[in-house]
Amino acid sequence: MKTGTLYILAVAVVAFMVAGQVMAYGANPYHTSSDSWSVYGGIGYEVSSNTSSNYDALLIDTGIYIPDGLMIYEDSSYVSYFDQSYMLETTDLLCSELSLRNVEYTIVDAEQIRAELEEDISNGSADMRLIIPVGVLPDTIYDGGPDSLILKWLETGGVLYWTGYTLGCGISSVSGVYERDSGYAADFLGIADQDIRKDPYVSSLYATEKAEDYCIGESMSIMYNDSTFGINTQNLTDYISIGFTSSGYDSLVLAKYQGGDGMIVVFGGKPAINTMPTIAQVIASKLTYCSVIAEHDSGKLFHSSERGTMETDPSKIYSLYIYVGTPQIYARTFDH
Amino acid sequence: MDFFHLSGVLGDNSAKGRIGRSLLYIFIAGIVLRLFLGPLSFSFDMSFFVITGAGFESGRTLYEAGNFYYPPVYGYFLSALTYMWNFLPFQSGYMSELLVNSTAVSDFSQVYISSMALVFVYKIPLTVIDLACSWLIYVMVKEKTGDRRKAEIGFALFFLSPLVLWSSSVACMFDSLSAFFMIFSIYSLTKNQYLLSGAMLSLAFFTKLFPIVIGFAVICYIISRSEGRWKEVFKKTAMYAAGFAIAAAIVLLPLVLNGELSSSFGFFGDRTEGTSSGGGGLLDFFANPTPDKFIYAFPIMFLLIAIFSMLAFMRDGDDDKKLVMASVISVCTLFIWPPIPTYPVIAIALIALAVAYCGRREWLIPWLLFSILMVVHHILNFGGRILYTLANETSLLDLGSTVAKYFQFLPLSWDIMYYTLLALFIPGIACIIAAVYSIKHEGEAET
Repeated sequence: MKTGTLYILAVAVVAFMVAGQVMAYGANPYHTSSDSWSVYGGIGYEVSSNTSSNYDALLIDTGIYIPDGLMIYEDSSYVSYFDQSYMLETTDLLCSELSLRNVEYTIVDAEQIRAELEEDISNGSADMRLIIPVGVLPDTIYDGGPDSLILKWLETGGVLYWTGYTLGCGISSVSGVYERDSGYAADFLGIADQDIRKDPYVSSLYATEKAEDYCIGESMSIMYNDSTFGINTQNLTDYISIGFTSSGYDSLVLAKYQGGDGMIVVFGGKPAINTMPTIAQVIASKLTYCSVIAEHDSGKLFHSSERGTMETDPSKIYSLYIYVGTPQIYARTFDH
Repeated sequence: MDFFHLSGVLGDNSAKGRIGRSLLYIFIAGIVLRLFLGPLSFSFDMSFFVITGAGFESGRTLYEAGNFYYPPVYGYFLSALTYMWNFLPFQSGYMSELLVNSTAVSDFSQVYISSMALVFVYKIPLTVIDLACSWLIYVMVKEKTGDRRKAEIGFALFFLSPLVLWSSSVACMFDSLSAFFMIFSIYSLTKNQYLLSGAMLSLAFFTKLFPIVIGFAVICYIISRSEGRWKEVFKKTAMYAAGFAIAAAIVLLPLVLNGELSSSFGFFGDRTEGTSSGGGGLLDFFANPTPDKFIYAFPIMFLLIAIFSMLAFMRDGDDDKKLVMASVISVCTLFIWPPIPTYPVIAIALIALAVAYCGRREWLIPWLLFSILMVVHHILNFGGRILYTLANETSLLDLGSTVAKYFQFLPLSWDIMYYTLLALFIPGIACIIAAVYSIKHEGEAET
């Protein structure tokens, strides 16, 4: 081969690579968007994308009001059961997944949560949701007693997303983690402690049978089966279970707080990079413990736009959740 | 057209025509085999590329979606390819609740099944890369030997290697890209294009790390070619290093600017961290030779590579051939420790050169062993999962029963895999024997 041809080949290959670089790090060529508006007797929506993707539009009768914003707890000075660098990576991915779903979030440390929760309690309503992805509650908001800040906040309507360990069991401080022996399940869900699974060092539990409300999870492309810290829903009243179940423990449960208006969403597994899209999907959709899927449209986008209308009942609270792609490349929620 | 013109298809005498037809038959056989394997794919591994592609579509960078566990070069290719694939009206795949099982958390990768359309479309660029690498081998052998038959043998040894076929057509892995850049680098070096050669080795390195081990051979080559003139050695080495650095700068610049440099090498830690929890004695260490333990074997490999490279260049003879032999020995030494089965694709490319260009037929044994044992081990590892796409989209198989059979035979597969994993030591041992033989009988190569 002539030397010149060799260089031409090299330049062609490098040019192709650089084109990919530019698209990944410079000029993003992709665009996906959606909109929604009120029409007589219902709502209209439009979703468009210059990709080749499928889309779903879910009209969710949420039953209760859910605030938009989200606090993500992350405090490397507080001890948890997980490696700090792994948790940072996991939280980064959660943030990335939330951003593509147009969820606004703020990252808060142990002291900032206290301040935010105190402010909500003094206002009498929660204006932000909270996710604790590390499986332990910082001692700034929870001391194991019934007057703990987190419980008061849930009472006023706070929404807590939980993953990583047995709900309410571990209390974290800068010096270590203290585990409650009993009463944690009653404090949060009004059930017996044995109804929340707690033997992580014996075995993980990956559930295989569909839970009773799996169809809701399915409509949201959610297949979450980690029941390692799952919930036995036998003694719960206001809840939906949208994941899988094994040995009586459900993997993904949305339940009403036992002492007030709040909601607790339990993802029954350890924090993992590849389950963050599922967590983000649940958060972004504003799904609640009393949600019903009122309507579900789906279709295909190929450098195109699709429109639709859905009937609504003026007496109900809805969120329209539109998501695009498998896996998701875009999502947005509209309150109606 | 140009390709076949070079190969002699359009040649004007009957001998050329016959030889050209041979190349055409090899090409057709390779394509037919790839089409036959087309419906098979390992959706689990594919899912990481699908998630990365979806990450691009959602405006995220290469490592932001958290599922690209390689150095960046193929990721950039994937970015460009994702853009092109967006102009085709097909879905990338499906999530199937039938894949939810009690052995793993059902994240996207676990429940994902590639669509048949994606499986075929995804493999087109991989086939082109296989072809490009085979063609480079062909061109180099033909140019160096003037023998079209030898060049065709080189072409066939790569393009029809069961391991290469498996890697790009079933495992959907891009090891051929690394091999392509490496062969490009060696070929450029033999043409005194030091800057270009350095740049290509850099791209090979930032595709899949392993080709960097030919660095010793390159240094020996430069010294040998300079015939002891140290000023020239310095000049050529500087050119080579400059080429390497320029390509590295192009590859790494966006990562540095986005603070993703550590992510691009994070996979290396992920794949070696399992070692620290291994425990057990020396016997346990060798009895369970998982790829992550490679890091412990590396110092010995490093030493062997340095010694073999120097020995290869201490004999009389053609420097270009010595470069190829030192490179093949270096790369194959790396796979003494059982690697992930697709990794030795780069060894296959070099073995093709060693056999076809250097006439070292003893290397056909490692070629055969790599080609068969790696594939057998990977088949056991993947199991019935490579049939999921076929089962999901055709009536030939039922997905539910295919999944059930996979789990039914999983314990047996694991038992057999214990032995096939141990068997992966065999190609490496064969390489060492071939290396010693080649160095000892350097002047006796088939001409």
